[in-house]
Amino acid sequence: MTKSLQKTVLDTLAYLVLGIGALTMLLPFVWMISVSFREPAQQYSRNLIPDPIVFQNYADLFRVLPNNAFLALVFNSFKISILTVIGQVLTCAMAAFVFAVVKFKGRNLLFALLLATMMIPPQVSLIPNFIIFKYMHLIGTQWPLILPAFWGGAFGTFLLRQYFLTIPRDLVDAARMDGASLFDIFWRIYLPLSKPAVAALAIFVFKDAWNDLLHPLVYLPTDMQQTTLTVGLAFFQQQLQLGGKFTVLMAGAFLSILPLLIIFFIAQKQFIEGIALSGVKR
Amino acid sequence: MPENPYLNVLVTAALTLLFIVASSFGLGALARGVARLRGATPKQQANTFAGYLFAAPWIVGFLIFVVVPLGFSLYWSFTDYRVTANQPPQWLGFENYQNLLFKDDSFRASIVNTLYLTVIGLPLQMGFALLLAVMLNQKLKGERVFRMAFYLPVILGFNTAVLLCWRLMLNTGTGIINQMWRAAASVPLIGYLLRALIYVQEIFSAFFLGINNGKFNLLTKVIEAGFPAENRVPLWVQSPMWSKMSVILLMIWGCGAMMLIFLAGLNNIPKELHEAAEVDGATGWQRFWKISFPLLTPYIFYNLVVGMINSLQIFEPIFVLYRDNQPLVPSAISMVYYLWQKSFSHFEIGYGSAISWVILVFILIVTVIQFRLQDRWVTYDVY
Repeated sequence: MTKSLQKTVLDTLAYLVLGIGALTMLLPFVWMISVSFREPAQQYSRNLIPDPIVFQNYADLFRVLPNNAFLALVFNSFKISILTVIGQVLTCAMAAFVFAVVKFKGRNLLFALLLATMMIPPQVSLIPNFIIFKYMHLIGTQWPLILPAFWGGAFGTFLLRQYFLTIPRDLVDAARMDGASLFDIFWRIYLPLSKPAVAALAIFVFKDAWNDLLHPLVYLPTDMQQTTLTVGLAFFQQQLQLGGKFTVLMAGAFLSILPLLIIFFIAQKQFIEGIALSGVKR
Repeated sequence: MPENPYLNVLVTAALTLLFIVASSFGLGALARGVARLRGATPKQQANTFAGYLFAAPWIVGFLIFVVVPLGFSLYWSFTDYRVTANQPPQWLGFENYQNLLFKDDSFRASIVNTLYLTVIGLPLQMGFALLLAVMLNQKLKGERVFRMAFYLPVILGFNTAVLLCWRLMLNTGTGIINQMWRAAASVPLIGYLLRALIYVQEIFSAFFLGINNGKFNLLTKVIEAGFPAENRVPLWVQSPMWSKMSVILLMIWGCGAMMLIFLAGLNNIPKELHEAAEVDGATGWQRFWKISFPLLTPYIFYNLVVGMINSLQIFEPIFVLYRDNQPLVPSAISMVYYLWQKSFSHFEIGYGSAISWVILVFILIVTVIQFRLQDRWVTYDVY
């Protein structure tokens, strides 16, 4: 077999594997979108292109649930996710900055502790945190989901520290000569220079907060005005499946992943760089 | 005091902010004081103050949300604490742990199920991730599009909406997966292969279910029934023998994060190595096993450690797929699902705390073993 023929065969094989893989990966999304535009009677149809295309399911979504409940779910998810992002980015960046730039007594010990907390499964502190918030009378409010974000986190601190370490130290020394305070150096030099890493962290945190099911489930009442989209969909699927018809449910499902889809298409570069940052760096 | 929700929110927010700022400055000042007492220079004192001031939110959070909870939960795990009961917790000693490890059949089932997902699901997940990474590394046209398609499930992965969608797609009779399966099975050779897959999967699954309840009659029944008939399809979320396989399918589907790590590893391999080997006449297969694979072992190790921690903590897919399907629960529950069920559905806080500590110790042991074994097979810095 000649070299070029061999390459053609191998390339074709690779395309075949990649093509089948990509189709399988996208199937749930394609199917979800397809079903959400179908007439209820055709929900089991094998055709992925709906015929006719109807928008009734989306209208029903807002009509079926009382008191604009779907909008409330969307609003709650956005509110919690955005506040979580603000808290995490700010506090993680502060801690990462001193771990990367400032030399002080006990820094190495603190950093070792930080890495150790990454090993502890979040479920262990879930029960005690629940009890603590119960004594603070905050169960049933959204505070237990938002407050912990303002106290930093191991993953975010580690990610940003890795990036901060790549910024030349000469910048710090020069700024100090000019009389800049540490806060100035943090706010005017490190944060602006680290936009890619900050964006990556923000996206990761948003994604996790948006997809979170366990915490809203534990802390929030299963009341559609107060809970998040994930819990709402899990619990109210019965109400959305009218007489065994799940076209409305799929319309809700599609709308609930739409924000993440949009962010993904805008910021896939940051996502992928973020993985590389958090990945193998010993 | 009159209830005013907006006022409450404002007050809580203001108090929180005040607490964070005050505790940060307090911690910074405390650290500076200690540094001064130990005779540090003014510059060192200033650095210490700034260091603790900036790290304070994390340090305080570490105390409030990690150290204190760990202490409480360790204490409760030795008691019969319940939220609903109004009496203080009673000290039980090791009774919770004894019940958990030796008497509780549901917990044993959850361990076996979680192990099944880890032992069978994780290698499959990593295998597919590696395969896709190697294929993507061929630098074909359209690589970006493929990479996006593979990474999308990671972002939406275990979102409830997507899981609900899978649940409908996996329906045995009407779901689109089985419709496609039937279409593929009507091709003679592929049909035979698919039936063989069903057979192997059911034997494995029946064996693990046998470990669960100590009786292996299901396994003998599967073997006696022989090779599956032509019209057999996977039962996915309808049968105890397939409930775990459905979760594994979801794990494989979300292999994109692992794939990206492998891809980064493949990109880091110097091209000269491959070129030199090609000049010496090595085939593509040889080059993969002798060059790429050894140099990928650090990345495989990373994926293995992270993947194992994740699969030992799996919760969402099981919750969405099986929460309202009681007959399937024993065959599908994971350790964390059982923890949730005991603590927040039955409110047995003491018992739940014991479960969480068993999970923690379990993960620590597995991770330590992996780090101990890494010298035997992980190659660092050979070039």
